Amino acid sequence: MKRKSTILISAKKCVALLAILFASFAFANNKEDANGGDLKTEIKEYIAHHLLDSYDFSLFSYTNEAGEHVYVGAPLPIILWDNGLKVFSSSKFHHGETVAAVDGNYYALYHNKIYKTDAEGTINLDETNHPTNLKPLDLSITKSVVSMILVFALMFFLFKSLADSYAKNGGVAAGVGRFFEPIVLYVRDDIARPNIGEKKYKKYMSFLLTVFFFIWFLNILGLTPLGVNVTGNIAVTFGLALLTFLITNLTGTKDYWLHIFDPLGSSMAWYAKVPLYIILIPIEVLGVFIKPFSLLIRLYANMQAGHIVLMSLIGLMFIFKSWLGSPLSFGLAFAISLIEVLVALLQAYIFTMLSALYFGFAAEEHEHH
Amino acid sequence: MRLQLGSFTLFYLIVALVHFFILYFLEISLSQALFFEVYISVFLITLLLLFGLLRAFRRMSNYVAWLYSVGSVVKFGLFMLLLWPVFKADGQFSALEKTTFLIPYCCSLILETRILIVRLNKI
Repeated sequence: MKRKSTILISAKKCVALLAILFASFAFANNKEDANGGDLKTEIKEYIAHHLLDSYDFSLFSYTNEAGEHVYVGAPLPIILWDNGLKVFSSSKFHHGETVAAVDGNYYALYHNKIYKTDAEGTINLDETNHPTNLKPLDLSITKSVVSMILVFALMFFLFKSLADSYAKNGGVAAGVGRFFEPIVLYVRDDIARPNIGEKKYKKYMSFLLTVFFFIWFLNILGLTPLGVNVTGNIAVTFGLALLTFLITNLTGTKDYWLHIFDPLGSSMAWYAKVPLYIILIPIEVLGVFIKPFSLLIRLYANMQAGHIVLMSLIGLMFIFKSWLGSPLSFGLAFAISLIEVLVALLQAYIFTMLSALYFGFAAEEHEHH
Repeated sequence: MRLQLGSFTLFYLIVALVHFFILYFLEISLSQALFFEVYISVFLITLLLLFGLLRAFRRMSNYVAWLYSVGSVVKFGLFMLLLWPVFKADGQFSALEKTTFLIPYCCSLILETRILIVRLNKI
């Protein structure tokens, strides 16, 4: 009897909580109507802007008392090839508000891309709203490039100090290296060795370690308020997957290639294999490309989705603006941030693990009797 | 090497003859199907690729399948570069022209793959 009443009280509490929650959402919806859709659009634009690469390293911006928009950050070098090399600072664009004049040429930012324009910065659009202006070859040092250089420097000094500590302390890691040593050993003993094999794993270790720490550090950097989204850039993940593709195929043994071009081996006569191979070989060849393609899409989509979800939840705080809705969004964003820290590591692990698996296929050697 | 190139030439000739007779009995003009242009260019490009591959088998046996794959892509690119303007000269790529291209192309691809498999099994 007592248990029944306890259950009843708990159920009532749940219903009350749900009622408050729905009331809060309803209140938020009413408020949104009163504010108009501008806030939503602003949040959407902010998220879209954050996901893109940029030509300056902006940390944050605010509107001062005079009503001016002030950006805090550093400009980056713009490097263009347009009838010769053009190098100038991104501060000339004033965050896309002005036209940059360089050696008699004019350049303007439009949707985060540089176009050649006239002195007024006119962007001509076609019927599909795409600019018809000339787009010079862009070799600029963008925010993502700076982040990659930072991670490269961090990795270099971190692992150099680890190597130095081995030399100094007779093979014993010291300092921050003590934290990274078990991870290096994990990549070696639980990723490379079982997937590639004892005989050949060493030649792939440098790539596997580099790619693991590179992706992990960049993913973690993406979660900081610096607002970089390097692994959510398809060009970066494409570059990484291309390396895996090239290493796999350039180190492939004859058994690897035989598995692709002669998957049935000597199990039947060649004339019986011909009709099967018309289907099997194209599938196997397609698999060679699909494997690295899945790598690039997986990393890109996961990181991009993580950033979108996280920023949408943060954006909800500003939409709700209520005592219940905003703390709930904050709590959820905090929880998702913690999950994202795990995802950052998990994605680095998955990329390294699958690369090792593909290298294992490539390095495979069968006993021929 | 000579044997493989010879068997390729023989097989290719048989396919060309069968194709020729089919077109003859269907009363389709050979020039309309661009028969000679296609067969000669496919034969020459494939022969060039095979020659290069068979030479590579001796020196770079670990990379032959990779070279074969890259070679196939280059070969297709060359066909597009050489034959596409010929096919599109009248403004359309007809079913007859498609067939005339695909038959020798697929035959040469199958033969190349067969030679690759035999060689890979011998390494």
